[in-house]
Amino acid sequence: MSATVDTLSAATQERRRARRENWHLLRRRPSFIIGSLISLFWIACAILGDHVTPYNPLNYTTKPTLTPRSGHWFGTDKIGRDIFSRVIAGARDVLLVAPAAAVLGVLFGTILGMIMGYRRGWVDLLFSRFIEALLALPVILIGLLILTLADTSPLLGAITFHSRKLLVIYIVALLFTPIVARTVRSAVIGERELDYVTSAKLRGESGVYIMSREILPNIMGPIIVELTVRIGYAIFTVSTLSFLGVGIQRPSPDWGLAISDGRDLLRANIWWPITFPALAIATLVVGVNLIADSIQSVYDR
Amino acid sequence: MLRYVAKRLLLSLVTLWLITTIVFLMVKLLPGDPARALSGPQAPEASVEALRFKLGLKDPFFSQYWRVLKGLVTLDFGHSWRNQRIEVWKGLLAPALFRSSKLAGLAMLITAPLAIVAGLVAARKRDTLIDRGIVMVGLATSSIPEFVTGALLAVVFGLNLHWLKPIASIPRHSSVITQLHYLLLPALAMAIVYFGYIARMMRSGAAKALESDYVRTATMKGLTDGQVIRRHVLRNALAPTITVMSVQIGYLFGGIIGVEAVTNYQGLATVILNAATNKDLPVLQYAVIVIAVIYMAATLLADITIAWLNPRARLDLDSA
Amino acid sequence: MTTSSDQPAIEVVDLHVDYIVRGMKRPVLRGVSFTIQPGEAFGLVGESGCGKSTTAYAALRYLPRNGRISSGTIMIDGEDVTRMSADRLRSFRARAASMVYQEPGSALNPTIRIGKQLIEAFVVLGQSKSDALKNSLAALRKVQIADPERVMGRYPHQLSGGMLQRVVIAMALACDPKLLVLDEPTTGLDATVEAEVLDLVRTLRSQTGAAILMIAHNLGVIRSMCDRVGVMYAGKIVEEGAADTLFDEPRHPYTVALLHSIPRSGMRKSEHALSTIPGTLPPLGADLPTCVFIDRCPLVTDVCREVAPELIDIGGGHLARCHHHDQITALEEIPGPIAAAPSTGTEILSIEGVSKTFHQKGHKIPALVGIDLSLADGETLGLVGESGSGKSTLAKAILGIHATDEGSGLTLDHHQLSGSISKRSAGDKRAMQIIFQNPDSALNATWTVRRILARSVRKLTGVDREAGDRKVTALADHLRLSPRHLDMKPSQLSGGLKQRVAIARAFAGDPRIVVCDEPTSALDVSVQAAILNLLAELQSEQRTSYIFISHDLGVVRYLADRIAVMYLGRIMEVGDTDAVFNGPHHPYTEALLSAVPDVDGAEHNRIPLQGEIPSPADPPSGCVFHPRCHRFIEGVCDVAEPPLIDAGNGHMIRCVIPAEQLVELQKVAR
Repeated sequence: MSATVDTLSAATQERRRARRENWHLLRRRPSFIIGSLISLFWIACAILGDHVTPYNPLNYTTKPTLTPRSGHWFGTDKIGRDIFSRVIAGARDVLLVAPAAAVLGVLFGTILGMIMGYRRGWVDLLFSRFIEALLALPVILIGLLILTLADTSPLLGAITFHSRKLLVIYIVALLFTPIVARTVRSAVIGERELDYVTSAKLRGESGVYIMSREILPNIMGPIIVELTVRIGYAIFTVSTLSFLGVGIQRPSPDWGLAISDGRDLLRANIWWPITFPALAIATLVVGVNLIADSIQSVYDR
Repeated sequence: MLRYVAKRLLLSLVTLWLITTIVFLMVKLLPGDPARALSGPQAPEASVEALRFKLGLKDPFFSQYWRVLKGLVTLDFGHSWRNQRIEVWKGLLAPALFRSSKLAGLAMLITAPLAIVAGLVAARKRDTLIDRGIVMVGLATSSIPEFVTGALLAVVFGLNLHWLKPIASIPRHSSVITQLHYLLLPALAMAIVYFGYIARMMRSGAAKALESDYVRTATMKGLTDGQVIRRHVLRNALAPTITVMSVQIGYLFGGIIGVEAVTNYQGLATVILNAATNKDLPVLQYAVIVIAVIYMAATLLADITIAWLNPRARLDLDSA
Repeated sequence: MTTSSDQPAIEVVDLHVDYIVRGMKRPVLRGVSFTIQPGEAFGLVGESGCGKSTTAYAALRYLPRNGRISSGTIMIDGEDVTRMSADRLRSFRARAASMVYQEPGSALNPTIRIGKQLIEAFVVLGQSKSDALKNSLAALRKVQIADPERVMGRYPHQLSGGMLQRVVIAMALACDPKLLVLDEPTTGLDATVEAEVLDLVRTLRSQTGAAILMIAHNLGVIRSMCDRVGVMYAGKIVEEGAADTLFDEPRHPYTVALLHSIPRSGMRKSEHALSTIPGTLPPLGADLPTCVFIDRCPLVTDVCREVAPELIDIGGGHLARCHHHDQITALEEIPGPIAAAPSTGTEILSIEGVSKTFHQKGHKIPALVGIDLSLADGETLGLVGESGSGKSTLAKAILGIHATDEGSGLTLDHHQLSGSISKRSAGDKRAMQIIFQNPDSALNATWTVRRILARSVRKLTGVDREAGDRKVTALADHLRLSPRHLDMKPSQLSGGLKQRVAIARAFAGDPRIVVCDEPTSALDVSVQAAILNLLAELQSEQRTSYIFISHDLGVVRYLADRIAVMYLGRIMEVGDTDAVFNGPHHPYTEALLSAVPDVDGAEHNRIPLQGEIPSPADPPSGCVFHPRCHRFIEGVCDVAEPPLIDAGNGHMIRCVIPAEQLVELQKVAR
């Protein structure tokens, strides 16, 4: 009995050791530290949101289009809302929708990619053609198309409980699925040629067992890398869709929406309503991508 | 080689058919009642029904499908739902596509040579400050959405420094130079985004080639560094870079919407966003298909170039 | 530049090379010195990680990005390579030194035609394009390429490994180098191709007068090619001397151990177990202040722990780095036989008319054609043949990994076996297991050893968790895996230990038959010895039958009771090991046997094979071997495929020439 306890702890220790080693390597990378600090800042903003902002981000507080000044550090927008408060609170929706979409997309993509890569044959052939076709469609445009159709679609309305955010999550996840599936598929094909898979077949393991217990742990590296990269792209995609008016909807203080609202003001030399949300998006995506890149180089080592 | 091109072309046609079908099904099955949506909730049922007939929504399913496939071959995309007098292709998509292509072409022209050189330099100076700098800049610029870059450039170079026109609404009948002046800002915004992708791919391709056995052989032959790079590294490193560039051309036309919208350039964005607001489904549907065709043409061209650069690539398709 | 005839071609003095690994300096070469005279061939041998390849690359100053020459000199032509400017180094590489590499397949640029790459080597010397073209064609003729114009127009992937290596050699000789470095030039090539390439190098050597530095792990190859040999261990040369003297009278304990771990001169398991070297190689960059072999040496005394031995001349230019080089004879003892339980001769597996056809792009590729074999309990059947002969396909067909063609018959213990693993009963799955060549691929890297073994035990035997755990412990103990190893992942184990785990897994369900697919090919010879001993012991205890695949005839001869020789998916000869080795041989077997360079230095009359192995998709008419056969009879061999004919005592040969006549012909050839 005590022997089993010992072995359990030894196995856990081994796993912890490998994780610790990766963690140590990550922690030493400046890009990881910077990326994490930026991301953590925005996550904090997303969580605290309007509890910490000096003004209510949704209501107008004073005159419109005030230049940045004390009290309104980033100025006010065209209906007199405090831009600083809106930038802080604007982190919430995108940081809710984008990671959720990325996680869901990676989940679907992993399942599909594993089936394609392991089963091969006609299943793979069929889905490969299908994925090839989907990859030819530009993500932003197809997102735009579906979201436009969604307004009048009873089907989409029913499965998203008429929540725009849930709809955006589903669609971005679906758009990412083929890309993830392709990555996972090629990782699985690399693994299934290895002899440990043959060995599992020779002792009579089922396909599901081989996929989930034997192959999956071996491709976790690429999947984790894919996930972090996808989170960056999801922020990219969700902000762009919101900017184009089909993503997150008014009156959310979302950054993409804010740039969309402020772009007309550029003609009047009013730069602050779009500069600060633009900087917010830029820092967040760069931060997330710095993390993704560090994780990738640690796994590729 | 000819066999390869023929095979590859055939594959593209299959993909195109699939895309058309997917988009058709999407437009067909998702919305509940486009005619009702177009007419508004107050419109009497009789006029909505009339609109349904007029738009061909009452035609049998397969005849609608056939119309889409036939339209693709004859470039007859029918008429806009909003304005029945305007042809989707001749009146809307073709001119917009032409204007957007100018923008996209300029962006690629700026970014591709710079990015290839930067990637090569980074690979040569691997793990030095120069390399880290190029990689980091590439990572940062490629992760920021095009419309954000466009907005920031407009603020800095347009409003503050007055170097470029912040709003790219080109006056009619302007000279090429004036056009370029207006185009530069949105083109730069896209160039900056694609610089990162291309430079990083070039770097990894070149780094792989530099560590290969055949570069070792070439070096041991006594070739100079320049000769090794020109004759042995470039050709092999370019293949993945070309693939990435062709894929980016597809995305370029997706990202162009954001850049055009933020700088008010009259290209695809105007047409597409208008169509989206107006639920003008044929315009949206064909815009997506046309961009997919551009993407496929770009990847086809890339694959043929690669097959020409690397004879082994021709075999890959055979075994696929 | 002055070149006097008495000056050595290369003189390496006290060379130290470090690799920077995670910011830490790890010494790889710890003071290597040697000289090679013009026209002389010097070989460096040793197991992986000893620094032999690093030495070769350091000589031409081409180290990996994290490698540094920290001290020492490399004098070539009166100049120190370590101090050359970049320009000087380039012209030195172009004019004075050349290299031939392992893996010719990747040594040439895949996107450029052979001709262009070869011409480049001449243009670098300042020749005009037309001269370079003329010289390239001549160079290809010199390396015995029959159709140089055609080859010049080819891309590398269109040529075979042997052809590519000829091209690389032609390229290396373009500048008529003073020093030619050969880094494992035949590793990965088939035995007959290897023999041809080595023959070519020998011929060219007599023509060019270049000094040769040859790196190889195969001691037989080194002995047959080199005048003098250095044995390396942990970054130092531990023994150096004339090839014959060194191999016949080794004076360093490591050299002795290395030689004894190879099954040689027809050694059989029934006669001797193989010697093994206890312990493992010191890790890269370990701190080794005194003798580098100290932890594994049977002769170690206090003086070894205190004083680092120098390379001492023990007479006639024979140098040994050992305080006890005069006590070497104490090591001459060879272990006794492994107690074998001889086979009862009861047939357990019968293979009748097994065929396997692959379908690719509408083409039929017959990989196995009508194979008949049988296996008795406790017997080892060796399968030999070059790559593409179908050995591994046959093994996979037997195991049911490749479903066999219609009409193939597999019988296990008198009942029909399904051709596909998924249709076999639990008992049948349990009865047959496999040991793969590469344990890194064979073991799931994310699982612990315990989980790997436990899963196999429980899945194959169906016992409960507790009994399974007991069985795992017993199994590990039996295979000399310590309990500590059980909770490690494969990546934390050495190659030999990993292979032990793979063997333990194969034996988890007490199988009747184990297929061993090149189980020691990826291992160093000293580790190979331990694994072969282990396999022999397991067999004698459990009466397991082996199907043993190997390209190494010495290993097969040591372990196998019977041998089947395969060519293009057919059995060409099958019989008792002694019968196959002593003859009469099938002409193909004859050529295979003659191709192996012997560590004992015995001279063979090598039989060259013509042409290359034909594609199995389009096999030659008649006897499939006839286009390459040196005993080809026109109008007979190319007309009908001969059957397997009994040459006595079940020794079957697929040849129209009667056995008695083969004996006569082969007596003359010897």
